Amino acid sequence: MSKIVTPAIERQMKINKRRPVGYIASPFKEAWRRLARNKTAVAGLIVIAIFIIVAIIAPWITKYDPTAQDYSCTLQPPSAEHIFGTDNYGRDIFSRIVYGARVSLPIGLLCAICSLVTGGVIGIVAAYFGGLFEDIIMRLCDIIQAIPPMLLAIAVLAALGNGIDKMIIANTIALIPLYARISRAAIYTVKENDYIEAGRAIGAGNLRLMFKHMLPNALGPIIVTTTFGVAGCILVVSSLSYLGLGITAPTPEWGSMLSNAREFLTSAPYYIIIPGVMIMITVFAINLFGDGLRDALDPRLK
Amino acid sequence: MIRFVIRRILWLIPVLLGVITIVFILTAITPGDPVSMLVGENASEETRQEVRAELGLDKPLVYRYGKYIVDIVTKGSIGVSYKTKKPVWDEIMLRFPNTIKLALLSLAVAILVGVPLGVLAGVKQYSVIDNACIIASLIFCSMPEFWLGLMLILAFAVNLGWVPAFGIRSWLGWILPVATLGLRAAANIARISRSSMLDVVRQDYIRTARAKGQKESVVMLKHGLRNALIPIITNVGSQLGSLLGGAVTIETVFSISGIGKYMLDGLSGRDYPVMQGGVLILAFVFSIINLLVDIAYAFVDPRIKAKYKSHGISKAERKKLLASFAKEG
Repeated sequence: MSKIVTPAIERQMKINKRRPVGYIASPFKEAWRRLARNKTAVAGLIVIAIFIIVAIIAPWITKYDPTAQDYSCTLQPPSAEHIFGTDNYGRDIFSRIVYGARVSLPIGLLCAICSLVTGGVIGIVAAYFGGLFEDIIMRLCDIIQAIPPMLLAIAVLAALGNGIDKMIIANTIALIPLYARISRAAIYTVKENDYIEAGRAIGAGNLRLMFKHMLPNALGPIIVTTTFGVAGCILVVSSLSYLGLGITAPTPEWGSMLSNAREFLTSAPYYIIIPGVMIMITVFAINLFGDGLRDALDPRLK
Repeated sequence: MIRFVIRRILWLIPVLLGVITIVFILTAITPGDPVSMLVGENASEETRQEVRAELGLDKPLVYRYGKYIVDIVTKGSIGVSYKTKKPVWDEIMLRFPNTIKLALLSLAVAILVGVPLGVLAGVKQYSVIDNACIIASLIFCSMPEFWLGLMLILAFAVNLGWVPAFGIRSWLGWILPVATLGLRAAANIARISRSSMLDVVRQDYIRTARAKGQKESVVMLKHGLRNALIPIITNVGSQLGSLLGGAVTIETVFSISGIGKYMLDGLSGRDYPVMQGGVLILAFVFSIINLLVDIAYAFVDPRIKAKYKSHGISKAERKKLLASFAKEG
């Protein structure tokens, strides 16, 4: 039997040059390959990686303790000694930025992950069981979403008090409805597929159907939202700590550094510019990566 | 269609009740005693009790919750500030115009800048305009908005001295806060407009319109933009929500006397009614906006209209029909 080669197969064969004929990459490998071809997304990823590495090796690349005060050199502009200058307590801004990455990055990530896990599970379970349960969950989401997220986070933080853990809880509560909605919508797109019916026919339980059969197939939009979620959380956390909520001095966090720098807007502009630029670069890189991820995971844009 | 609108309006009631409940629970678990904030830590136990009774804080939470709701329904009152002893409603209404002016002006800037740029970028995909638009909008999306505000102050108020850095004594003072919120929202709207336009230009009806020899400008504006508007409208609605939230920080940055600043001040003084009232009013405004967006959406999207029409016959008609069936046996 001769093999019929259609243009589509030919294209596939070209892509899989060194792979056996008929090989079709798994959707995630395929997506990863498309992502790796996207230059801006890779650039974003590299920047994120640099920031993470800097945060990890912080003690080895900084000369000064981020909380050590030195009143002999306060508010010094950037120089060879202090490359980002010093703040009003004489603390080295570069050290504070580097150590701040150890606070700001994990908080953003944890906020997104916590809201993803709680909101995601709620959304998946709601979509799977449907009926009254789903209605109640979605109506509750409506209620929470009637309060602008920033306000809700402020109110929750006020109720819980300050602290990094409370900051994460506040952001998580404000974001749960969003993730519940997105994962519910994503599950709806795969719920009616034949393989779910097949899974049920061979006696798979509810949990197995939900998390083994439905979730992996609905993961695309959820991952993309989470990536943008990390970026959004970093911004919200910085705004909250600028308002003096959540993270308090002397923790070196980028948002609270800005809050402190506010007074010295005219006398030490570099102090307010640098932490903001750091936030911007981080969030920019995450957004670039997220954009690439969305393009790579969206089957319509192949 | 009418049924849809009425249902959405009625749905506001349980939503607002829910919001009141959430806010009440939050203030109930808030640490810190408002009485100590008012009379000081060293006040005698007697004065404490007096103040407590005066504020109604000696009653159980459930009673206060019930009273709060009853007061809203019967007197239209959302409480009295612990500190100033003035009705929160009046205080908020004094500041509300500033907040809403800030949000609406910013939204106007955002739409006027964001939609044309996004649509242009979508129509000319991969062009210089497109790339510039993507990068600019990404940069603005990636800044904390209060920081953008501070940078604008640094550039235009401190260094150039064109506009005042704080306050809104003249219209010049509005420029920076509106630019801050507006540019960020414009960046979001431009992103959505672009991707929505990209979706639309690949559709068959665009090809059809081109095939019949229609002018490109007409194809894009009449066939393209009109269909791309649906997601844009939804996004504009949600932008207004985040503008209201963002107004809280921006009011603080520019010292504008608005609801956000009032609430934050109330928060630091443990003035619960101020906090509750502020969240409630903003949630109410936000819900009304979402309602309007939903209705606008239903008018623009024929699918939703059809959903509420294709159930076809009204109840009265069905009754008539059933009656006629019954008559015929």
